[in-house]
This record gives sequence, C-alpha cells and structure tokens, in this order.
Amino acid sequence: MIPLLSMRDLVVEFDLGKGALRAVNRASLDVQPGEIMAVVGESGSGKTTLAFSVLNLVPPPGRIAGGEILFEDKDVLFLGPEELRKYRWKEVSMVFQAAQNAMNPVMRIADQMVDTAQAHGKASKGEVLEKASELLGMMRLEPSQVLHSYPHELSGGMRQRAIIAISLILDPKMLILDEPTTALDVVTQAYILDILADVREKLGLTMLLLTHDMSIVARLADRVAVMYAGRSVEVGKIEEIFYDAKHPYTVGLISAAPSLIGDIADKKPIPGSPPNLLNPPPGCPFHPRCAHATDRCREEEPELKAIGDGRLVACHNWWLISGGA
Amino acid sequence: MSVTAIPGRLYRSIYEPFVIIRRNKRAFIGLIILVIFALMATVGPEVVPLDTTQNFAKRFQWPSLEHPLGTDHVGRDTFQQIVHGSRDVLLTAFLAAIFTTGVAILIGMLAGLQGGMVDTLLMLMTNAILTVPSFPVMMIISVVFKVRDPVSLGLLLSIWTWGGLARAIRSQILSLREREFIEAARALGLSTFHVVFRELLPNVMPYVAINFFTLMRGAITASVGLMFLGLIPFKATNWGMMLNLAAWQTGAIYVPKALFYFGSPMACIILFQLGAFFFASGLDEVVNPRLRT
Amino acid sequence: MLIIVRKAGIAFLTLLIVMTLTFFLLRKVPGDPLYMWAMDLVHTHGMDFDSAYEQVKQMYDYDPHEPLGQQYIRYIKGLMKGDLGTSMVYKISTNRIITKALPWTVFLLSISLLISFGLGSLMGMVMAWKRKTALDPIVTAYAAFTGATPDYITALILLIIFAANLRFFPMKGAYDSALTPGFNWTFIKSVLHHAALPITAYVFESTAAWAMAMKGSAVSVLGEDYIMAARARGLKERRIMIFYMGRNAILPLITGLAIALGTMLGGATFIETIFSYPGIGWFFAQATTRMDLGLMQGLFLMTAVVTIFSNLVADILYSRLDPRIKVEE
Repeated sequence: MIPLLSMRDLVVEFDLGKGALRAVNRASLDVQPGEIMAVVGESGSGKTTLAFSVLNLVPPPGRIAGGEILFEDKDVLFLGPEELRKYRWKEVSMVFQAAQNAMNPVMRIADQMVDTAQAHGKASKGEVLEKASELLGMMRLEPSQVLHSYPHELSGGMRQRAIIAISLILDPKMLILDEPTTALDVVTQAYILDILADVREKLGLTMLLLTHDMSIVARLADRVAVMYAGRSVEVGKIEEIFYDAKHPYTVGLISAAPSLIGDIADKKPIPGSPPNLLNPPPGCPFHPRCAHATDRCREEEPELKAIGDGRLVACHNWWLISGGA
Repeated sequence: MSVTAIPGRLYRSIYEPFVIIRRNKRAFIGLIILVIFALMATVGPEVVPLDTTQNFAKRFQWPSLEHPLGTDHVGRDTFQQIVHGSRDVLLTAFLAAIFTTGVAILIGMLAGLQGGMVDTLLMLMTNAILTVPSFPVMMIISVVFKVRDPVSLGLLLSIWTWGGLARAIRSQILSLREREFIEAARALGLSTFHVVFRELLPNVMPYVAINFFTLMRGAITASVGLMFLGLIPFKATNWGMMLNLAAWQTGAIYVPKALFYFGSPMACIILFQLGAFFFASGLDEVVNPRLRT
Repeated sequence: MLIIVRKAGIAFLTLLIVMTLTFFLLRKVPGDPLYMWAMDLVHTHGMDFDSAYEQVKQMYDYDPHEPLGQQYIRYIKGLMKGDLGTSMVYKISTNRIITKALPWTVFLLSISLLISFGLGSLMGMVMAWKRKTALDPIVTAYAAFTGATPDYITALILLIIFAANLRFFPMKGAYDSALTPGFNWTFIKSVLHHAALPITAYVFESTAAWAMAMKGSAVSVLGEDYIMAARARGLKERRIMIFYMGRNAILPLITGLAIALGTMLGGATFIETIFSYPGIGWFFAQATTRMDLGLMQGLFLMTAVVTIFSNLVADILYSRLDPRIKVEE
C-alpha cells in the first residue's frame, strides 16, 4: 500500500541566540490510509514540531532544515504559497494542543466555520452550516446552541469537540491530533476518545495522534511511532509495541504507564532526565538512561533500521530487548 | 584601570548604566542633548551676554556670524535670548518634576502602607486628578494665583500631574508589602522609617527616575503652552514668551525672515523633548535588563 | 450590574470633588471681581457705581458677603439644574455660548479624531502584520517626533507656512465672515476651507500615537494561538490580518477612542486658539485671558462633567465589546 503520508529524515531547527536547537532530528514515519498512527514521546520530544511540519507551519524562530514530507507523493515542504494554503485543512487538518484558544474570540463558531469553508472555494453559507451541524451532531453537541455561541461561552470539553468538528469541515484525508485530551477531566477524555473512534469508523479518516498518554494509544492506535529527543526510535504495530518492544525507551514507557490492574508499586519510572537538545550527548541520545548501554552506544548514533514487516528500530542492541506490558 | 578594579556598588550604579546608554545609540544621543541643555542653562547665562538694546534697523535678520540665530522684532540677538531663557525653562521643568515626584511618592506610599479609609480617600482624589484633564485646571490656577517665578510655576505645574505616578507607586508598594523581606524587617523590629526608606523606596526608585524625565517633558510643554496663551507673563527671554511674542504680538509669523526668531524656541523645545525621550528609554533598558539587545 | 453602579458612584464622587474644588478656587481670586465688572458698567452705561454693583451682583448671582456655606449650596443647586453661570465678557449665559461653540468643536474634532484613529489603526495593523517593511521605522520615527512636539508648535508651523505666508488657507474663523450661514455650497466650501488646517494639525499630531498603540496591541494578538490556527485552516492572509488580528487588536483602543471622543467636547484649546476657531477651547482660552470667571467656571465644569462621564461610558463599553469580559464579570 502506498502510504498517505511519508516522512523521511525530517530535521527542524530553532535558531536561538546561543546556537541552533534541533527539535526534530531525522524523524521518519509512514502513515497508511485509514489507519490511526500514534506518535508517542515525552514533552520536548519534538512531537508538536513534527505535527506543525506536516502543515509546513513551524513558527519562527524555527525552520525546517532538511528531509522530506510526502503527502500522496507531493512534497509538502516545496509547495508554493497558494498551493500550501489550499492543501492546509482540505487535505490535512489539525487539532492543536491545548486548543482552548484556537478560535477567534470575537467571532461566533458558525462564522468561523463559514470562513474556513469559503477560504477554500465557493460554498453557500447554508451548505456550510448544514455540514457543520452534521459534524457537531457527530460530536454529540447541539448545533443550534453551539453555532451561535462565542468560543468562551462553551465549556472546555465542548470547545474541544467544536474544534474537532471544524477540523473536519472540509472532509480532510488526514487529521492530526496533538494531545487531544490534555487539560480535560477523565470523564470528558473518555467521551472524546469514543467520539474519535466513532469518527474514524464513520468517515474512514486517517489520523496522526500525538500523545504521551499510553492509555489513549492503547484505546485508539493501530500503529505507534516512538520519539525520543527529536528522533524516531521505534515504529511498529500496536501489539508489537506493547508486548514486544525492541527499544529500551519504549520498554521503559510501557513499564511506567499505570494500569487499572496490577500494583502501582511494580511500575518503574525511567531513570534520568531528557537530554539537553542544545547540546545533546554523543552517540545514542538515550544511552545515559539506558540499562543496556554499551561502548558502541556511547559513540555511534544508531540508524533507524527495518527489522521486518514494517517494524523499525533505532538501537544497536535491539535483538536483546524484549519488553512489554 | 580595569573594570574589575571598580568597587561593586559604584560599578552597578554608575559605570554599568553608562555602558548600556553608550551602546544604545538613541539613548546616547539623548544624553548628549540633555547635557548640552544642562550646560546652556547653568553656564550659558554667565558666559553669553544679554544685550537688550533695541535697534529697529536690525529687526528680523537672518543668522550671521554676529547673530548666530538672527535677531528678533526689535533687533536683539536671538541666540542670547535662547541661552538666557533656557535657565528659567529648564529650572521650572526640573522643579515641577521634583514637586510632582515628591507629592506622588508621599501619597502613593501613604495609600499603599496605610490602606483602609485613608487609601480609599486618597485613591478617590487620585482618580479625580487623573480623569479631569490637567491643562484646563492649570489655566484656571494661573489666573487665580500670581505666578511669576520658576518656583511657583513649578508648583502650579505639579498640582494636577501627580496622579499617574502616585497610583503606580501605590501598586508597587502593595505588591512589595507582602514580600518576605518586609516581614523580615518588621520582625527584626526595624522601625517603619527604616522599612520605608531603606527597603521600599529603593525598589521604587528606578521607575521614578525614568518617570522624572517624562514629567520634565510634560512640564515644559505645559509651561510653554501657558505662556503661549499669555496666561503667565514671564521674562521675554523665556522660550514660551518668545513664542507668544512671535505669534501674537510682533507679527513675526508674517515675516519669512523671522524664521529663526520663532523657529529657534520651537527647535529647542522639540530637541529637548526628543533628548529626554531617548534618554529615558535608555534608562528603561538600564532598569529592565530584559529590554537590552 | 453592581459593578456599573459602583463605577457610577465613583464617577459621581469625582464630579463632586471637582465641583467643590472649582468653587473654592474661583472664590480665591484676588480682589473683588465684581468691582471690575461694575466699573465696566459705569463706563459703558454711565451708571453710578452703587447701582452698577447691584446689577452685577444680580447678574452673576454672587454676593461676596454671603456666608460661604450658603454660596456653596446655591452653587451646587444651580449646577444640578444645569445652570452654568453667566459670562462676564459676553453678558450672556454660559449655556448659550456653549450652544454656539459646541457645534464647531464637535465638527472639527470628530472629523480629526476619526481620520487620525482610522489612519493610525490601519498603519499600526500593517506594521504589526508585515514585520519588516519601510513603514515601521518611518512611522516609529514619526511617532517620536510628534510625541516630542507639543501640538501648539505643529499648529503654529502649519499656520505660518500655509496661512500666513503661502496664503493657501485662511488665518482665522470657522467660515468667511462675509457669508451668512446656510445650506448652500459657498458656505459649506468656506467652512471646509477654514477647517482644513486645524484638522490637518490635529491629524498630523495624533495619528502616530494611534498607530503605535495599534501596533503594540496587534503584536501581542499575533502571539495568540488562534492566529496560527487560522493559518492552519488555510485562510487568506488578508482576511486573517483584518478579521482575526485586527478585530481583536482594536478592542483596547476603543476605550481610548471613547475617552477621546468625550474629552473632545472640552475643545482643543491650542488648535482653536491658534486658528481662531470659535469652539469651546477658544472660548475657554478667551475666558482665562480676560478673567471672565463666570465663563471660565462654566466651561470648565462642562468639560469636567463630560470627561468624567465619557470615562465611565468607555469603561462600561469595553466590557460590553469584548465578549470574553462579559462572561467573566
């Protein structure tokens, strides 16, 4: 199958006064049509920057310094301004992290929907609002109430769902969700996850889901890409990642995630702290925290290698690793 | 002498700010302008003579070697008048700024420290001062009271202008009041006097210093404005009076040759304002390290 | 609702303070003002001094021997009824003078305000949106210059160049005194001709300030999430600049505009004086230079009332305009 999105060796740098910070350092992943691909990593692992890159929306002082992002065979990074504008939202749309402030506070929801649709072609207000109502219904919101409101008049959860609705207004082929449930209470979180699963089923939507919460991954994802220090360190199917992880960091993540069953005392956090991205350690970025680190790990940075059946790992000693829930 | 040889406190208060100002081109130019005017006001009248003999044959001349800024409507040298007028103008502005700052500190501190009814009443007064525009008030006061010298003019100019600074000082005091070092000082039994002058005031000073120049600028605008309207008869060398004479009484505005006569006070005012503005923004950088590039 | 009542209460108290201060201030004028006007009557009407003095006392409702407290009460009562006193120079009530002068002031200043606000906001918006253009340093320098120049100097320069020397524009008045006011083209043309320089002076002086204010507000709005989100949605740049950045950035400025509109009723003293434009500002300046206490007091109080009131309105208006604040209250 030809992947819908294909990212190769993406590099994104931030130009700070005292040097360049590599937020994304040769990340690669593929997203197949119709699947939900989760990108997992701690804060600072580069997930959000990666997501912005897919829309070529990295804010200054950041800039994309290398690699390619192919969406249906076209390199997004080389689109002209008009093409880029049309591509955004129509092909790929995004739900931002902490999306509470993602909508214009002085415009009603309905007007923002219409604005978005009309920026991409002629559509009558009536048609747009009809579609919007449909989507809001799918979000289990009351269209008549929501459409006429201002963003701040909705509760946090409602706003999040409205934002998901607006992201679907142009029938995009892919939806990127950046931490869709942070800042929401657990009940609302479950609600939104239900809705997302629903949407995927009804619309056959491809999703790129960014999160650090393994339970969301377990609930929704088909495949997982693990990121550390701006690099992809492991990619695989969800069962493989959960029960047979091949990268020490992935193993650590799975072990550390709390579950309803089992004793929390058994859970082990990953020792150490994330690396300084301005001055990363040589060799494998994870080696200071890795129990299996060898001399080779300290000197040579591991390449992301295919180890069969769509599985990718970036570890010198991957065959030694066997971890899981 | 190397930089490290300068003792710490001195470095912080004089050398370092000077370096920062020096680096900021605009602020440095501002400083130079202010220094020039300060010299003009202090030393100028001693060095430059004032020849008040009238000579109609020489009226409204263009600048020449003898008269660097030309002559006025009765043939007197413009440059001399500017120099002699600068002393009154700048002295007035300086005094006005000092009086305003004094009142503002007093009221701001009283309101911030005392709280309660005192605070409410003082804030009501401050609100009145801030809402009602100050210039009309100053116009009325200049009519009611005889204002003839820089000191009383300075007082007049400060009556209605302390509002903003007082409010700012009060909020600074309110936020500082709760901080630990005040409680510590109190716990150590240090008197209120000590708390006020050794702990609170130094924290407020940087803001006051920057504001000082803004106040001076406002004072000049207001005092010249009052003279221009003819509400305060001052010596004819005062820049404001020069403008007044030029506009209303001497027909200077109809005479293109009189350009330098009415242009000089205008240029001086504008230059001083710019200088004070640039220097004050440089001071801002000294006080707010975040603004430094 | 309670908040509005509280704000109105503060406004009222402020007004009371101002009225009281004015009262005591004007009683402090050295000498007996009535004496001067009585003598004036003696000279012009050939009255004897005592009856002149009586008449002046009646006209200004002012008896220097009356106990202060009583005077104050009558003063406040009068103000409540809208009686702003009488002009000693023009011999008519202040209210009538206001009726004649206010339209000119409003005409002049509202046009000036709207032009400078509109132009300034537009410039500020573009300055914030397109970060590195020639517009930015030019406008910033222009703002520094106009900030340093008092408005009377700008007005004077314009008067000197364009009216006194080049004679493109008239030197004084609101219209050509040879004409009778009416709705004909000649009159309107004259009015516009006379208003051109004062309006230019005002606009030249204040546009930069609005531009810088708008730029500051817009730059902080640009940092908000919804601007980036709007780009992500593929909206056109111009639409984002105007409807997403502009509409949010202008909110704080509206308060300033409302206050400026209110203060405008106090007249632009300098501009009106320099161009001899018969508005409130001109009359107030005249009143002060000619020691017309009645007119001075009346016009000043009018200005104070209007300013306090417009501050109150601006305050309330802002909370209505920004949908976010409405809920928070």
